[in-house]
Amino acid sequence: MNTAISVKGLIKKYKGFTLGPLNLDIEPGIVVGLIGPNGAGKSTAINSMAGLLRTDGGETHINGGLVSQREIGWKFDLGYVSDDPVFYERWTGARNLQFLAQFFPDWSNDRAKELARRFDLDLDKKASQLSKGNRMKLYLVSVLARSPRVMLFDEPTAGLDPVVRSELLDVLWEIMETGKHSVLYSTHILSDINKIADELIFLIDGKIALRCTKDELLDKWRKLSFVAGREIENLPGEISRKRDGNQVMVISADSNATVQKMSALGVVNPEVTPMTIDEIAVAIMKGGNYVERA
Amino acid sequence: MWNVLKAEVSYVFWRNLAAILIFSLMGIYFTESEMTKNPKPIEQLIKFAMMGLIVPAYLVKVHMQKVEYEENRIRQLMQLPLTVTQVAKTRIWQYVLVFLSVAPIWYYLIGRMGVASSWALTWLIITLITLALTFANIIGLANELQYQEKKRKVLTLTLFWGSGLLLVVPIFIGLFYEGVRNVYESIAKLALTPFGPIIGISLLIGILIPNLRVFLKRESYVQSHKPEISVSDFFRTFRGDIEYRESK
Repeated sequence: MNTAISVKGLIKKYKGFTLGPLNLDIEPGIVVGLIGPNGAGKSTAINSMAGLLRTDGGETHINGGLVSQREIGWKFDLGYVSDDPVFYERWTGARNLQFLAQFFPDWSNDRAKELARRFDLDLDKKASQLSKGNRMKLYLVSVLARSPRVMLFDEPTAGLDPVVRSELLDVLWEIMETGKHSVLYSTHILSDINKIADELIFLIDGKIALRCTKDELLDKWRKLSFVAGREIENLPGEISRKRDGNQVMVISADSNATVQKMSALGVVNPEVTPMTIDEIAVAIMKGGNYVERA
Repeated sequence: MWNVLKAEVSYVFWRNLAAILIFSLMGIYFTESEMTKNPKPIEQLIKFAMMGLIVPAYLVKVHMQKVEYEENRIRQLMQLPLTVTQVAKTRIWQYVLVFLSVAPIWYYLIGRMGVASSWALTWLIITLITLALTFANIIGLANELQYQEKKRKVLTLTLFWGSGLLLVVPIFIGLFYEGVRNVYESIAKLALTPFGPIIGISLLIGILIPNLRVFLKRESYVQSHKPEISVSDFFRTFRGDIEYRESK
């Protein structure tokens, strides 16, 4: 089976910013969350992979097909959703979907209707009459109705209310259960990532700072609090350290190794607290020193 | 590709055509009516308001929407299983169809000459400029959706204001200066001689190519390598045998 997304040496240069070179393989059947601060290059990366940006180097394969402006085969396998849906504004949602349906052999009208029902979307309204959230729903229906093998989502839940967001994630979850689809999902809403992502990629300053499974991240990262009267050396896995008098708080990316070393240094019984995805993401994006250590 | 063209025709073609027809009929009215031949002051004022303000303002508004419309439409079409050539072709053919469909009216207006001949010619020029800018815009956008957001905004604004000025200025100049109006009319009269088609084609080439060049140059600058659609590629799209060069 082909790799769902294969990115090799992808580079996109803007004045004052360079994305990449990115190297990335995403296997079929997984959801990868793309996390990074504003300006890290998430949208640029996704748009480059979707063939909407001409890159300055490297190549992307979608389900084995080279992303190129000469070939269109790969477009049948790709579903792209950004936060900026575009429609024929004076047409109804149904007519917009009808227009798109003729391009995709895998399009399912039943699926489109079912999704619209689940999203509580009125397909008889003109696109121009839809609210931002409903436009986004229509966009999602237009992509999900053809069940593309690979989906690139760039902030798809921006502007959606929590109920619809949750509904979207449920639908995605159902789609992923078949094991045939892959999703690269960029968002600032980390609770979304927490709900659906199998793996996480942290993009900082146009480079991949860290890629690992969500479980690995949640297993290994810990906050360690302990009392230490004297300065102690840097600990393995240590990401950051705060000292308040004798009270020390260390964030570790490898808590077992950190605790082991602390024992060797005579620091016993540290208070070990699990971290949420949000806390871990903030620690990575804020400090940036993880990039150097990773 | 034909699916898109069909959709475009049903979506936008009739609306554009209706707007152009309305203005053309207004042109015929002003060419033919007694009001134009022997206007009272109030009629002169109405004519000034209609021809000098409302019409250009509407044309500018339409053009502004068109720039935004093109940008959105191309962004959408690029997500469909179409090559960038097919996207550009679809957009260009739509405007060619609109232009061809109103050509007989232009011919009629120019043929009538008279007092309003300068309007007829001005509108012809306006149409050509708008068409040229639209083509340039389509090519640029289809070729390079990837303009840095800021640069794309600058480009859009330049196209808007540039073409807006091109729309309004000749009309105002013609309104206030009889000498300029006479020049328009002399040129318009030439259109009735065998030189007419030659002038028309020269105008088309003279407006289209520089616009394309400027556009492609700008893109070239942004991307610091050759654009994927060159001027020659552009003309080859009409023959339907375009081949793409890979990005260098």
